[in-house]
Amino acid sequence: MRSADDIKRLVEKAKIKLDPEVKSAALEELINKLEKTKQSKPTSRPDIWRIIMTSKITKLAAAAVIIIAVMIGLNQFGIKVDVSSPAFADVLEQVKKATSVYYKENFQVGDNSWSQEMMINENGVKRLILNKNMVMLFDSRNGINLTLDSKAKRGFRTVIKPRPEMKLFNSLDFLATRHKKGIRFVGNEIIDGTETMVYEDLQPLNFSCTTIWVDPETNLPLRVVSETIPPDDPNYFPIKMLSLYSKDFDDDSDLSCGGNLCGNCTPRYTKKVMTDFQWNIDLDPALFDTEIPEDYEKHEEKLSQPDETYLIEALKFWSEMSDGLLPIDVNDLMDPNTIEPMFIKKFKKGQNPYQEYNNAADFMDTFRWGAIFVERKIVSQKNWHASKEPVYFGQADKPLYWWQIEDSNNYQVIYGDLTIDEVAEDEIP
Amino acid sequence: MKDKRLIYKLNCGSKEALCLIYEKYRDDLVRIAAGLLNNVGTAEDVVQDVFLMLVHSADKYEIRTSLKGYLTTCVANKARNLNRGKLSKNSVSLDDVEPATSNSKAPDQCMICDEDFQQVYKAMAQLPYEQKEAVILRIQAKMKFREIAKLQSTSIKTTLSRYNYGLNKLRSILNSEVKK
Repeated sequence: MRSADDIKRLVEKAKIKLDPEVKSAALEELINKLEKTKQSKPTSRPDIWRIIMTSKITKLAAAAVIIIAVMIGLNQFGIKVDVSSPAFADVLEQVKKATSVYYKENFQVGDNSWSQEMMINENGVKRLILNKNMVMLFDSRNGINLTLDSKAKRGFRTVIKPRPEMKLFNSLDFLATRHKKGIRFVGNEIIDGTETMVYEDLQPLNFSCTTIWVDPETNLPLRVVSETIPPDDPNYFPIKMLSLYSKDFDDDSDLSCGGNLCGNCTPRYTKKVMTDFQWNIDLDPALFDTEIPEDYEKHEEKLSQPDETYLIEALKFWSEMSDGLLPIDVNDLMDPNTIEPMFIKKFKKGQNPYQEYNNAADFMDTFRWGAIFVERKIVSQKNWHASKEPVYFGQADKPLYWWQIEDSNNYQVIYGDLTIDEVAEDEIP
Repeated sequence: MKDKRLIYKLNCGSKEALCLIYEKYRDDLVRIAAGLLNNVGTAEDVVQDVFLMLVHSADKYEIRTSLKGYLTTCVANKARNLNRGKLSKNSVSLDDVEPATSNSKAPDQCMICDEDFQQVYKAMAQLPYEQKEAVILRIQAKMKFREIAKLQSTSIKTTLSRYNYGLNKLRSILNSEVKK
C-alpha cells in the first residue's frame, strides 16, 4: 500500500524520455523564427556593452584580454561530460585525471595573430607566457590574477572573486560538449607520425567548430583547433574592440590594453590552434607563485564594482572632448572609432609618451566601468530614457538619462550638470 | 543568468539567451504538458507553440512573477484549450478520457523503464482533467494553489478539493494496481 506521500513522490519524480532530435529540430525552428523576428524589427534598441572586465592587469596585453574572454565564454556553461560517443567520454575522463598540462597556442583574431604558451597545474592555476618579458598567472581558486613584466620589473596583482572549485579540467572544459550529440568521431589522421583519432564539435549556434586530435594510446589531446566564423549576414555586428596602443602615444614599450565592446553581435573570425601538448609533467611550483618578486615595482588593486561615479567621470570626459556636448545616444559611448581618438587627443602631449599612455590606460578602466554601469543599471531596465534634445555639460535643468530603479517605482535621473537625483514616477521628465 | 536578463537578451535577438531559456525549461514543460494531455507528441507541439509565442513577443513580455511560472501557465492554458476542443469534438466526458491510442507516443510508451512511473502516468490519465491539472501543476510545476485557482478560474478551496480528490484517486488506482 502506498501512502499519499509516496504518490506525491512518484508524481514528482515521474519522468518521460524525450527524443533529442525532436528537441533540436524544434530549437532550430525557434532560432529561425527569432532571426525573422529580428529582421522585421526596427533596430531602435541600443547596443549593449559586453565588456570583458579588466583592471590595470590587462593594460599590459590586449591578447590576454581576448584569452580571458575566451575562457569566460567557455566556462560559463559549466561542465557536461555526458557525450554520446563513449570514446570521447574516455578522453574527457583522462583530461579530468590529468595533473598538469603544457601547450602552445596560436591565435588569429580578425587580422591579428600571436602565439603564447600555457601551463596549468592540478589546482587550475594557469601560467600564460605572452612573450619573453610578459607572464600572467590566473589563480582562480584563490581569486588572484598576476601580471609580471620582467623588462620593466613591474607586477600587477588583482584580487578577483575566488572560485574554489577550480581545477585543471575546468580550464579545459571546452573539450566537453554542451550538446549531447555535439562531438562526433570523424576519422583518423596522422599527426607528427602518430595516427590520431579526430573528433569534431560543431556548434552552429555559436558559429564555432572545434576539432580535437587524440592520441589513442593515452586518450589525451595532441592538437586542438577552434574556429569561430561569423555568419555572412549584415544584421550581425562584429565585436567592437576598444584598444589603446603605446605606439599611438609614440612610446616603444609595445604595450596595449583593451576589451571587447559588443551589442547583439557575433565574434570576429577567431582561430585558436593548440599544439605541443605535454600532459602530466612535473611543473616547478615556483612557476605558479602569485606573489610579486621583491625587486619588482608592486601594483595591487581590488576589482571594484561599477557605480554612478564611473558614469559621471566617463560623461565628463566625453563632454570635454565634444565641446561640452553630452552623448544623448548611448550607442555613442560604445563606438571605439569615436572613443579611441578621444583618448589619444586627451592624453597624448608629446612630453612623456610612456606616462601618457599609462594615464590613458588608467582612465580607460574608469571609462569602461562607466559603460558597464550603463549596461547593467540603465539599458537593462525596462523603463529607461534618454533626452531627445542636445544636452550640454552644466545644464542642471536638463535631464540626460533617466531609468527606473530595480525593484522600485522610483526613477534615477542624471542631469546635464551630472548630478543624479531620485524621483517618483509622476516626477520623471 | 537571471530570467529577467535572459528575456532582455532574447528581446535583443540573442540566440544564446533563447537556447538557455529553452534548455532550462523545455523538458520540464513537455513533461507537464504530457501529463496533462497524455500524449508526448501533442505535448511537444504545445510547448513549441508557447516558445514560438515567447520568441515572437518577448519585447512585449514583462516579468511580473517568474519566467517559469509564465511558461507553465501558458502551457497549462494551451493544454486545457486542446482538451476542451477534443471533448467538444468527441463528446466524451472527462471521466471517460482514455490514454491516447494514436500513433503518437503516450507518456507510458516513452518513459524510462520504470514500472512505477508508467503506472503513475496511466493512473493520471484516468483522472478528471481539472483534478489531474491541479495535481500536476502543484506537484510537478510547484505552482501555488492560489496560482492554480486563478488559472482554473475557481476558488482556492475548489482547487484544493480537486487536488485532494485527484491525489486520493491516484492513490486508490495505484494501490489497486499493486493488489492485482
